[in-house]
Amino acid sequence: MNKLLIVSLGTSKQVLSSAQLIDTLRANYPHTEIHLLVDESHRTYTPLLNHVSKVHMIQTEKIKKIVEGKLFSNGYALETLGESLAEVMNETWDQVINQSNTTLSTLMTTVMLSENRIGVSLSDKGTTRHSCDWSLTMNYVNSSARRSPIEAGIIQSHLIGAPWRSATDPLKISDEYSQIANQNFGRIRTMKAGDSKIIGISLSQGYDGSFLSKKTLSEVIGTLRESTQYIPVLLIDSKQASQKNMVNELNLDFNNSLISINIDLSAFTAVSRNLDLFVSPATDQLVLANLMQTESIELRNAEPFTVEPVVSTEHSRVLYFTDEKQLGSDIIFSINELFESEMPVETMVTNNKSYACVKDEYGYFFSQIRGEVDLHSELNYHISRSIFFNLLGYPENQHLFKDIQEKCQKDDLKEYVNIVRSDLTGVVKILLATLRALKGMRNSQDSLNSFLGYYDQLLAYGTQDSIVGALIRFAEGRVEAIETEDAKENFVQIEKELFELKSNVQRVTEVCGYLMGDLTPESKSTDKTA
Amino acid sequence: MEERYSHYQLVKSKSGLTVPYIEEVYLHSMYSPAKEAEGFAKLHEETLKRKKNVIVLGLGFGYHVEEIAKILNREHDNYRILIIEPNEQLYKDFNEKRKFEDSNIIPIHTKDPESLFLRRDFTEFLLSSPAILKHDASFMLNKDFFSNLLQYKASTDLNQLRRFSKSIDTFVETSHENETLEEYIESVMKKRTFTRKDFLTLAFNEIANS
Repeated sequence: MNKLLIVSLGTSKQVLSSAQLIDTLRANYPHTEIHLLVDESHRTYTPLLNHVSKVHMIQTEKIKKIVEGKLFSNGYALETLGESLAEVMNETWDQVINQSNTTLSTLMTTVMLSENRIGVSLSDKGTTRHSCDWSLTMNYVNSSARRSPIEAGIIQSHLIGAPWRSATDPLKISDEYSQIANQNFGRIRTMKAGDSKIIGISLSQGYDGSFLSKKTLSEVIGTLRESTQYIPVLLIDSKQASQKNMVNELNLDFNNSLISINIDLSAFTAVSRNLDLFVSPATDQLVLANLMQTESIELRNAEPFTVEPVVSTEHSRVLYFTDEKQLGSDIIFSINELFESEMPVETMVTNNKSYACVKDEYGYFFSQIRGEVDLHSELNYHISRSIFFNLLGYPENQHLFKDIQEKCQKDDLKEYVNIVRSDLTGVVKILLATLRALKGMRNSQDSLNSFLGYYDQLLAYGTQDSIVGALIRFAEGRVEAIETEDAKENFVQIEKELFELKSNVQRVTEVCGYLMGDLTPESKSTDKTA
Repeated sequence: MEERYSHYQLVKSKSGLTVPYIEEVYLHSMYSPAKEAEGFAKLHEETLKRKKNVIVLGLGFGYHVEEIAKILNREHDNYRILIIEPNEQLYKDFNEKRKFEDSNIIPIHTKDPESLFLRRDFTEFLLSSPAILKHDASFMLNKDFFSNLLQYKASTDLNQLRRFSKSIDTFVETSHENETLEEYIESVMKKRTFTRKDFLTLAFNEIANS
């Protein structure tokens, strides 16, 4: 492969996250030229990314401004877009990757000259075309799941045919910044006796609008300062006056003895390497810290997994908080747990939920470590994760079912299995009726309406946030991806996909049997890799 | 009095500075054009503190522009002033007799507002959201021209758009020349089979409406 183009026309988070994908590409195709197409508003981010041969930009804000202004000719807007795309559109690419998965990225991926488009693109009929089942999982399964069975980062690696791995060299680090940061943090580290840990605390506002309040900051900083083991360092964006004011207010309470560092994004990679832990809402800085493998505590003001975490570094924590009062205790609890310290925690009972990032043979996942456990949704997540990885070519996770059996109360498990079996009963009934109607169409055209009716009912089950619902959505994606114009062939392929769904639903039945002890792993028949 | 035309003259003010006298209108004060210019700039000082780019409607003999430049120079690192003047004789005389020493000041002469919008540098300058300041005497003298300029509305017909875009053929099939861009985009959206051009048009539409 000579030249590939990554289309990343989404958020700043997505542009920065492309570093993970680029790092994997570099490892697999060391001699390939990697080009990047981004929005001009993300210009400042691209110099941070390693291994990029050339960055192409489109000026969406300018184009919008021209279109919105009555004075300006839309011809000038067309010209602005045409000029910025001329070079990328004239190139024939060995591969074009739709990295950000937005409508604009999908259209741009489709426009490029290439025989090999990765992720979602469009067919000449305007239907979505998925390069593989991983892409389909991202767009049909994850998009409607309360908690994605497979994290987007893992899917992105598999889109280019590589299992997920930690990035090794994703970002550029300035030697000058590195030297200064090493010197400064070296000095900070010796401020307390022994081997102190430096805890970086971000004062920035997260993508979700959340930030650390003065009360929480005071509680966390105070506790860290009183310990012999930790040194808190406040990281502030000097352009944000509110952050400067916050540091000033905090300094009044701490006798002007706090360490704070003004930092911009270009210097952050050098700083991040010197932190033992970074506490931050989901921000661009956190994305960079994660790429640098800096363990972090990600703060999310949301119900768990309504937004996917930024962190994927092993041991990192995600703290979904709905109750700010307990946030300080939750942060200290996580730090204690990560570094085996015993700082005082104000309350052990919390309404917030913490998750740890854990590595396994599939990549990484999040395991709940604090807060009330919603057993049903935890089981749904872990089982659907195992089933989907198996569906996508990985061996099934035998240990998982054994662990669940051993660690869950039998009554709780029975209640969960009963709910899943009830789902299964309804779905199987409709699925069989759909298949019968489809078969009937070979003999009579009248069965078409009957088939469409049952198929609609089946898709309605797919809107449910359940394991079976996710499998139906997967099948729906496969059916929608059928491109043949021959009606007969179309129905043959739909039938094939519905039988595949039947087999996948059977897999869930078997898992239920195994969880209840009615089946053993050896008696299961549908391991996709067997 | 330096030159005399039936409706155009350059006269000397009491303070000795040249003042254009056109159609029975003195474009600056006959007593002290410099003082008047100072007052003009002062009146717009707050705007000039916020905006580093300025369009001045009416050149006069440049005194008001120089005072604007003084404030911009004090407030901003990079500033630009674009002056639009429809009177060709005035534009010529000014360039012969005074000229701006400050290269950040760019006078433009045109009688056709649309010709300005065909200029890329002018459009780019407008996109920077400049302040627009009227030199009242010049504005009143050329009211129709400046009103047309301020009320200019770009045509949306595809054949008109071509004048602004060399890249238009990358987006648009030539058989649709008589449609507006909006009509063309709607027709693309209704298609059952799409070409590369169509996807690019849809991408443009996605950007425009995002």
